[in-house]
Order: sequence, then C-alpha cells, then structure tokens
Amino acid sequence: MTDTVAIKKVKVISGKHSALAGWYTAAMAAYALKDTEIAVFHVASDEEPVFSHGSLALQADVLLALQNLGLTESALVNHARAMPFLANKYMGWQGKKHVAFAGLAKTGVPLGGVNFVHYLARLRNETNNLNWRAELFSLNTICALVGTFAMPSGDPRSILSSLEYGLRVDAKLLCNLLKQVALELGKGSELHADAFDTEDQFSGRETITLDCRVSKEPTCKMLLDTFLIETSGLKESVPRVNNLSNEYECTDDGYVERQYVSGRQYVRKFFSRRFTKENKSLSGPFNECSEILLAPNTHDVWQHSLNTIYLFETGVHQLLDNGGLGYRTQQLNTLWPLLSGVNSSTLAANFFNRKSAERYRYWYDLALLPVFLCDRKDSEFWQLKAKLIEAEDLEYAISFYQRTGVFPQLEHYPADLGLIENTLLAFDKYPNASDPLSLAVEIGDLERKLTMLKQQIEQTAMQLPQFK
Amino acid sequence: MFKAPEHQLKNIVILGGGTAGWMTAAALSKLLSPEFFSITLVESDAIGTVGVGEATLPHLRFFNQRLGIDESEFIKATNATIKAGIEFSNWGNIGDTYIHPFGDYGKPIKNVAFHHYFFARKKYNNQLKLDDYSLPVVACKNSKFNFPTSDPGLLTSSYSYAYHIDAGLYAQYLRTFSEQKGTTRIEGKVNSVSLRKSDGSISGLKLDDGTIVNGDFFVDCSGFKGRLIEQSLKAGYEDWSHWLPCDRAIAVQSEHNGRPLPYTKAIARDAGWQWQIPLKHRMGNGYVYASQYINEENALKTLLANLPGNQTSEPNYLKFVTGKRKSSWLKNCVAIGLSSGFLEPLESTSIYLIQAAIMKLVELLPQRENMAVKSTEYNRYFSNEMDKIRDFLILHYHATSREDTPFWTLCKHLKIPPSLEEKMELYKEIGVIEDYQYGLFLTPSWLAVYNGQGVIPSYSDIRVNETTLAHADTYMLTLFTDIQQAVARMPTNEQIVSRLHDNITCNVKLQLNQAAQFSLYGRK
Repeated sequence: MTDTVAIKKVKVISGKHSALAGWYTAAMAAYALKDTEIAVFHVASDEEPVFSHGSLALQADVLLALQNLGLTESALVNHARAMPFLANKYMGWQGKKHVAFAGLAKTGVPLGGVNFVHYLARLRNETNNLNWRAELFSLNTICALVGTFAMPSGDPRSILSSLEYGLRVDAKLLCNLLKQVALELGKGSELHADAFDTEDQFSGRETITLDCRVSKEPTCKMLLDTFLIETSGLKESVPRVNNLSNEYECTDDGYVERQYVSGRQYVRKFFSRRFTKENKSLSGPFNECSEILLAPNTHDVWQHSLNTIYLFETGVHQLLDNGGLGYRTQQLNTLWPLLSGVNSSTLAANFFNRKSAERYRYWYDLALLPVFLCDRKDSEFWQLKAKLIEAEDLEYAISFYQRTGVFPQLEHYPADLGLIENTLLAFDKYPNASDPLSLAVEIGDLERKLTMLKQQIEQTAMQLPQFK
Repeated sequence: MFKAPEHQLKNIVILGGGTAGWMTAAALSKLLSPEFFSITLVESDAIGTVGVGEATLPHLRFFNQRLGIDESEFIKATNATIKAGIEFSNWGNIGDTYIHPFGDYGKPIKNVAFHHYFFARKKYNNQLKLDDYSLPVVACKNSKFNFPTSDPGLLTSSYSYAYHIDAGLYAQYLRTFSEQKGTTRIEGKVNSVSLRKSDGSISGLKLDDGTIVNGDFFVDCSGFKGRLIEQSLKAGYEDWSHWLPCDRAIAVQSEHNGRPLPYTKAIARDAGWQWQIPLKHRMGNGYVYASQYINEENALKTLLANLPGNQTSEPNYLKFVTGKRKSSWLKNCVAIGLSSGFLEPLESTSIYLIQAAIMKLVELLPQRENMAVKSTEYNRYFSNEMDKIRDFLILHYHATSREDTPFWTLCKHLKIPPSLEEKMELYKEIGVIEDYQYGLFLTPSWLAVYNGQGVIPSYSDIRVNETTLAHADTYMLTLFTDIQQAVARMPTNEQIVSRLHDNITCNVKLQLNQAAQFSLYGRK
C-alpha cells in the first residue's frame, strides 16, 4: 500500500450523448458525499445534449435512489411528467399476430409453497389447452389491458398487494431535476468542457474522475447498431389502452419501442445499418426525430493509475428502457465505500472491475432479452441474429427454466426474476416440466382453482378506476 | 385417484439412516405426495452413525417449520438447548475470546456501514468493544436469552437463534416422523449395487440377506465412504486438506458443568481446536486436530484434560479428508451429508449443509427427462455453498497472530484461496466486506471473526468524518444503552432451558413456533 492522499474533489465528466448519465452520477455523488468536505463538479459538454431516451421506464431500484435524492414520486409527476406503467406489451415477436403482456409483478400466487408457473405448466401440458396463459393470472397485465389502475395495497391479504408499478418519466425533464439536485448538494459549480481543459486545479491525486462518456473500445459487437428516436407533440392523442404498458413491436430489421408519458409518445426504432440502408422515419406526426448510433459496449472500468473511473454510457444503456440507470445505481452504490482505496493499492479498483463485469453481463442480457427470445427467421436480420447474439448466462438460465420451471441461482442476476419470467411466458417459453410437488393437487381441482383466480383478477381489474 | 405422469420418478431410495438420511426421509415423505412417490430408507443397525452436528444454525428452525414440526416437541425430543452464537477462544492470539453471534452489529449510519464508525472511534478509545453493539453477544456473555420479537423496528428482532441438540435423538425423532408419513425402513447392509448397462445409473441395491431394493432415484447418506456416489459411481473428490489441515477428530460425552450456556465453545488448541456443546442432559465434546502435528494419544489426553465435567462415554475416533465430492449429484444419485464432502464443524455447518442439500433437491426434484440438467445446476449450487463456507473456515485459521506451535505457524503462513485473499485484503485495506446473494456467511459473520481475531481495516470509508461521527456517537451511545437494558430484562438461559424442558410455571414466556427465515441473522 502506498501513502494516501485525502480526496478533495470528485469530477464527473459527461459528453453530448451522456448528459443524463452525467447528471445522475453527479447527483448521486453529491448526495453520497454530502456530509464530507469533498466537492462534486460536473464537467458537461458545451454542445446541446442528445438524449438516447425520450422517456425512461423506472422501477423500484432507481425510484428508491431518486427518492433518496429528494426526487419523490410526486416530484417526478409534477416536474418530469411521470406516469405509472404496469407491463410490457410485445407484438409480432412470435409471428405477425403475436400479442402478449409481461407484467412487472410476479404472476399468480404460489400454492403449497410451489411456484405458480408449475401449476400453470402442468395444466397446459395435461389438458393440451394452450389458452391457459400466464398473463390471465396477473393483475398487472389485466389492468394494463383494460386501462385501470390503483395504488397497490400493503395488506398481503388484498389482491391489490399483487400489483406493482413503475414510473415512466420524461428523460430531459428528469435530467433537469438531477442537475438541480447536483448543484444544490454538490458544493461545486457546473463547469463546461472548455473551461475544464484549461483548468489544472482538478489534476492530481486529490481528485477522482467519474467519466460518464461513451466507451470507445468495444468489447463485444452489438447486433443492433442504430436507432431513431421520435417524439410526438405535447397535444398529440395517445391511445388510451396503451397508457399503462410499454410497447415492443418486432419488425423485419429490429424492433420499435413505444413509451408514453403524460401527453407525449416517444418512439425508438432499433435496427442494423447492415440491413437497412435507406433513411428511416416512423409514421405519425412527430415533432422531433433523430438518428443515433449505438455506442460500443463495455462494462465500467476503474483505471487506477489515472484516478479515473469510467462509468461508460454504452449501447446497453441506450437499449435498456431505464436508460441504464439500474446498472449505474448498483455501480455507484458499490463505488462510494471503495473510494478510500483510490490512492492506495489496486485492490479496490480490481474489485470494482470484477463486480462491473459481472453485473454488466446481467444488464446486457436483460437489454437483449426480447431479441434473444424471438424465434423469427423470416428476414436477413433475424436469420443472422441467431449467429451473432452472445448471451451465455441467459441461454443457460432460459434453457434451465424451460426444462424445469426453475431459474438457476446466478450470483450476478437479481434474486427476483419475475419480470424475466413473465417475458419468457409472454414469448410462450413455458416450462416443459412442472415441479413434482405440484402433483399434490388433482387436475380437475387445479382447473377450478385457476379458473376462480382468473375470474377474481378480471373482476378486480374491471372494478378499479380507469387511469387518467 | 389420478396417476402421476409416466416420466415421473416414483421410487426414491435413501441409503443410510443417520442425521442426513432421516432428515432426507422426513422432508421427502412430508413434501411429496405418497400417492405418487414411495420413500424407502435402507440402514443397518450394525453400522454406527457419526451423529454430526450437535450444534446447529438458525436455518434448522426453517426446516422444522417446513415439515410442520412443533418447536416445543422438537426441543424436548432432542434434549435441545438454545444457541445464540459460538464463542471462539485462543484463535487470534492465546487469551483472546470473541463470540460469533446470530445477529448484526449496529446499523448503517448515513449509508455507511456501522463498523467504519466503530473503528474510527476505537483509534482514539481503545476501550471500545464491538461486542457491546450486538444484542446476542451481550446476552451470551451474560448467559441470558429471550426469543426474538418479530417487529423489524425493534432491537429485539435483530438476532436469531439455533439449538444444541442430540443429533442421535433428532434422527430417532425424524425416523418416527418419516415412518408415520409412509417411509419404509429396511434393515440391512448393502452387499452390492446394480448399475444399468444403458447409462450407468443405479438400478438397485442388493442387501446382505439377498433382498433387492430397486429404485428410480437414490440418495446416498452413507457417510464418508460414499457407498453409492463414490464406490459405485466414482464421482471423485476434491481434497482441501492443504487449506484446512485438520484430519482427525475425537468425540466424547461428559457430564454437564453446571449452568447451560447459550452458545457453543470452540477453543483453539496446539494442533487444532476443541468443541464444547451444552445439551440439556450432558456436554458434547471433541478435539479436531491435524495428525501431522499431534498423535492420537496426545490428542486424547488434551481432550480429556479439558473436559468441562466427568467423561461419560468412550471416545469416538473419526478420520476425514476435508473437501467436497466433485459431483454431489451424478446420474440418478445425489449425495447428502458426509458422503457429499466434509467441512469441520467449526461453524456448525454440517446439519445446515444437509438441510440446504435437501431443500435444493426438493426444489429440483427430477423427472426422467431433466435429470442431467438438474444435476448440473444442483452441483453448481452445492459447490458454491461449500466453497464459500470453506473460505470462511480458512479465515479462522489464517487470521491469527499465533506462531507458538508448528500447526499455528503453518496456518498463519498458509497460501489461501484467491477468493479469500481478495476478500481479506479488501477488508484489511479499506474495511469493505463483499456480501453475496447466495452463500451462508455474510457481513456480520465476517466482521465478527475479523474483529475477534484482530484484523482491523487501515482506512475508514471516506464519508466518516467529525460531522458524521457526531451522529454515530449519539447512535452508538443509544444502542449501547438499549442493548444493556434489553439484556437486563432477559431471563437467564438456565431459566429458558428449564421452562422448555420441565414445564415449570414461572414468569418466563416462551415465544415458540414464530415464523423462521432461511437466514443466519433473523433477517433476509
């Protein structure tokens, strides 16, 4: 171990394409270090920022972090046009007519300690009736379908306790809120790139740099390399029933994502320039449209010799509907306790780099999940996809799930894989075998129980107020 | 009446009737429908059992609850006493003593782990003791105990508890339980094992009297030798004795020395360590040692010279090789208990590993067509459990200042696994303890051993400063006082044990059968 030098400054750098990442990082740093003498500065690009997301679909992990920053749900509703969502809607992935919902909450209820999906799989297998679909047993999906909503109940006896929601927020407005938080807490002022280049006050071992710009050295190829982002005008009408779900529509050369925040629709189309040469634009009256290249992919890296931690804004962040803020939150929460190792040995950096790589594999898998699951082979893009996509852990997890109905325990995957499971089921990847413990219920009895549960969920969803 | 699908395995055969065998039989006979599964256990009275794990971990409560076993009945049937931690003596240095509790030390303050503040303050006040900020540690030191409460907001919910049990009585209890649930017990010794020519899987066991016991799936609980998994299926063994050099144990029973303590004792000796486990009616004792450094005769002398009461049983001699089976599940056979590997009972993990294996087997109970994928996942899971516990056990030996005997000199200078090396260095440098999702021992346990054995971080978290320390001081003072007061209100452990066993009427309330968690610390 070498001698240590007290850290006095944290410098966050962002570029034209990483303003949100930069301000989120700066705000999180300012909050984490607010009781210290360490000043947090954000060196932002002079150029007008380009946002890779019009809106972000945020779940509990990020919402909790924002709440710590003082950005409560009501602040997000009032200042970032936040509105809830309950499910993802997939269209055309398993054939032209394929439409299915994957809810945020776990589907069904366990019976006798056995996961619900085992009973469902058993019923499907033994009755040969494929109309028993998972989405019928989720209040999330049924509410998303009929457009009703209520706040979840904390009482575990209430069916409303099975509801989970996330919030979609306008990315640019959230960025503004984060900027306010960072400037209020950061004890430092916002600097711009030009100013920084001539400043030498930040160099040296007293400063830690958190560089949030896009990565330059790709470690793996992305199948999709480009996307268009289009934003509707404020007063464009938005289809009502889609208000509570995010849409993912499969196309011949990639897919389209549609999200809705209050009064606006954001559309992103992902494709590969290898197959799509012509200029693309989406139909409909959009006010803004821009084409963005997906950044190369690599996990975060702590470069010990430079006191620099690269929290890259990569293609995976661009693909993820939460803007990669879930990964970033995990990374930053890991980072703060390690900062006392900045000027000592390489231990903290090595540890951070190992965790970064492990976690990144999960987020990469999650970002590409629908593409990975798609069975289409009717276009050049989808034919090539099978050869190009690399997702070893995901492949193992899905294969194991389909053969057993159980997810393997992977240390870098979250313990609750409810949304992944729901997505698999939305893509008709039901388990082929069910838990032998599920045999304790006779098949006729099981059919009755599941019918009752389905009806109860339907009735509850219909009785809830329409979301406005 | 409806039939199980054809691909379903029906006949499950368990070989061995020790703790592992009867725990497996009890779980399977309780959780699997008898209409579709038959459970048969083959054991021989002529073969003794090792009777592992008189000291248990809190997870056993979860296991018993899953089986619907009444806690009071279990305690009486196994002569159990309460266990709230383990006391380690002479490990970091001769004369040192610390307790590894089933509970946490303080709470994070301003998002920084409690121990950073503690060590920052201790630099200037050497009288501060981490133990004072753990309710179960203070309770253990005062021989006090009470059942934890369930309200997570209360200090009295911040710990868990386990038991000291007579493992032989537990096996007997579970035998009755299993047979009532339909398990068939066959008395006999295995003469030979038949393998299927098609895939090399086990088709049946031939017993000495000629009886053939056929099965679809076999659970090997035959102990160290691994009659099925090793002798028949040749699974192979990964030897860890270069990291954990103890390879022998001598166990004896003794009279009780008086008041029952709510913790197990692990006392380091010249060439290993001695356990003392207080049951209701007797003490369990043993010496785990490295035969390279002490012979059997001297080991026995050491053990007998340090018994807490008069010896009441003949010594039981055990030889073992620390390590794990390369595959615990191979073809249609899963090894549970000592046949799956051996880790010395320093942290009372034997019964935990049995129970974890059973629960994973129940979760992954195979059908014919997914046997191979399930075995792969099971082996990955179990191997991970073993590796992580192994690292934690090595820590006890390696984090020492002792060089007073060749054994301890070896331990101090041992080349440890890279996974442990990274973990220890990170803590020593900046006080960070990496938690994992899947593994038994988490931050409180590592902190207990680090601190108890004199491993102190060089630097605190950068967020620890005079401002945040001022908050921490207030919190620490409050916590210290609250713990003292809570312990003062607790009954003695002796009162609890009497109340549990003797049905005496007194003011001590027993809050038994509370919902248990699969956790060491009373929380997820």
